[in-house]
Amino acid sequence: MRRLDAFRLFAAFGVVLLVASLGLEHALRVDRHGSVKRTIVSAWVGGQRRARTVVTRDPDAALSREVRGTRATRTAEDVLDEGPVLSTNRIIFGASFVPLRDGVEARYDGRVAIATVDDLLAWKAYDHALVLGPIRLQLGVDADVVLEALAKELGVTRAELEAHGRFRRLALRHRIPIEPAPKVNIETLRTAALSAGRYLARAVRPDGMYRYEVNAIDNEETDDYNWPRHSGATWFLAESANYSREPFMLDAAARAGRRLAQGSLADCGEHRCIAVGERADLGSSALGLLAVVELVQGGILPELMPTVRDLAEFLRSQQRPDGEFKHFYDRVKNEPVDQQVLYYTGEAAFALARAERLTHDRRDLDAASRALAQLVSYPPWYLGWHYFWGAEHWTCHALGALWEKAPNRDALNFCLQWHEAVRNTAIWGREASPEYDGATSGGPFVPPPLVGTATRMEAAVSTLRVARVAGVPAAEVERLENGIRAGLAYLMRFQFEPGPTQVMRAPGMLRGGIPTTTTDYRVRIDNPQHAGTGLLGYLKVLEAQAK
Amino acid sequence: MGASARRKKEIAFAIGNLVPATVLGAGFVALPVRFWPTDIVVGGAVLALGAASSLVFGRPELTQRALTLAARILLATGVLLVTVAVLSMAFLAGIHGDFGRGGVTLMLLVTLLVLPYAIVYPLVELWWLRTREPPVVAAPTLDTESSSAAPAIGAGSNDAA
Repeated sequence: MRRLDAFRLFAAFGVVLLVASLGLEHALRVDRHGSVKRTIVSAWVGGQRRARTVVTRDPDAALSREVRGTRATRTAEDVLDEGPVLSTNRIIFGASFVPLRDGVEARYDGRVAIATVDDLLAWKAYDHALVLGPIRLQLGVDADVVLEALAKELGVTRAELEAHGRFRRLALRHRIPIEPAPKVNIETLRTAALSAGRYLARAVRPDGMYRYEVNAIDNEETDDYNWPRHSGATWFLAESANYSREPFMLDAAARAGRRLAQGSLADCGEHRCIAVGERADLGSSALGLLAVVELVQGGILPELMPTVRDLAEFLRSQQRPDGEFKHFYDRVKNEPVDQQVLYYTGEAAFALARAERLTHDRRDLDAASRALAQLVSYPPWYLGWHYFWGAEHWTCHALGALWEKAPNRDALNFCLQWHEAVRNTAIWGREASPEYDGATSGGPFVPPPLVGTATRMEAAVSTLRVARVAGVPAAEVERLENGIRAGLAYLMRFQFEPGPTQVMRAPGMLRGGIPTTTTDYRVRIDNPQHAGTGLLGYLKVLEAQAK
Repeated sequence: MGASARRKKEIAFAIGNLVPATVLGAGFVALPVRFWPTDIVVGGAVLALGAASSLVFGRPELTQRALTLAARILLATGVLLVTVAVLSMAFLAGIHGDFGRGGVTLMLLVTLLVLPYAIVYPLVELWWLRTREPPVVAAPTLDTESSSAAPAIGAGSNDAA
């Protein structure tokens, strides 16, 4: 009898938990495909909201008289549905909104304030993660920012609003400007790739240094600088300038290239390397070599040919007999440091493979080839490499650059397997955000970082080029290409082309930029570099196919 | 069931308890911040499981009570964790709708990792503790050899069953 009671108790608990869960899910769910309930129309100037009205009909006419003849941008966001907000507790409130899809409505004493998606972007309400020790928990919105801002709009204190206010979640969709959904074709790829190149060109200052990282919302820059990223950005800038031959881009690439050659070339023992301190790192010289090769090859700075030889020689001098590189050089002791970090071996392999096209030096090809072989050789007992991947984009670039003269079938299989994993772990079918399809995930509930997708797509394009000529089965090539198209569509969707200019202080400067995530609008120079490399690479594939 | 077979199973459960204790303990240590409600529940369960296992070896007469209490605490902890996980999933599903295969897999993995340690195992343990045979009480007999075999180890701890 007691056993039966215990069983019944357990069954009852299960039923109660099930009913509670279904009830909770049902109460919170919103219909994002429903009819428009009302439309929030706003007028923006210089990234600041200046006027707002909520209408239930004729939204296209609302505020149009007020903005006529002014610099204001008129936006309209449709409310498709709404749902409750359970609590103002920071965690529950923060997690109650889908980034870029939901707005917040606050009612207090008969007054109403609304934070739309545009407001949340302008307030940078998506940027702050909740930090729990070493864990950064990215919630939907930052409760502190949103509650403070709504309280200010309602003219009350935050404490009063939290105590007596009522909150609703609004499921929103942009009506004006319409949400972009770019198709992947030659025309759109060319626009996106060159726009990324132009962004970088605009970011090069007269002294050849870049505006390294800019927040698109307030146009504020950080104080950081990083020479490997300067080199990587210059590589893509030179490549897009060589493709377009636009004088503006060619000039900017030349300035950035000269700055690299004049400001950072140093002695590493008997060799020349790129270094700014006592310790030179392989990555700076490898990416510097890539940039210089592109600048010389395109005729932008042909006088840098000796630098190509110097840097290639330095890279070769750092290589161990097993193909691996010593990643650092101590310029005080004048000796290589046999330590390894992420990326550098792949970068060096790729750079040497590219350099060989200019130097025609067999030693560059051999060094690149041995490095690539080392990168993809794993002991047969280590099954982990089939499942746990790092960012292998430089490896796949090296594969592509070497295939014609030193094909490596193991490297091809490695890259194909990696991209199978990339596709299978990408975001597909996220109900609230179908536009994320094909993106590399940063976690199930957070906006995906664009640069993660960008690096994988540029590598996928390099792999695709090889796969097509290496006799890889057509079905696998098709899967690879479908993944590329989805990933690039995602990048183009969120590229500032022009992006939500209404929330930006200086949208003209940011055009073509690739933000860090779909809600974090910081643009670092390697974001457009990686995305642009993938876009331009696939554009060239399609153009070659069309010929 | 013979006394020695029963004792072997008690010892197996005492050792078995150390597995969820270790898993929960590792989780306790891995938590990035100290939050007292979680610390009390998880830390308490770890201590209870460890203490119960010690009693099984150190005070055999308390075996039945110790194992029963530890299993109940573990089950309560498991039920609490699953409840929180399921309600969190319902909350997130309500906010995000279908959040894709990655999210479902992650939450399912969390739930499935908790279930065997903190729900299934203590249920099996409680079931065994309740359905075990009553202790063999030595009958008065003239046969000195058979009377010397009783009482069984742990026989005095049956009243909690």
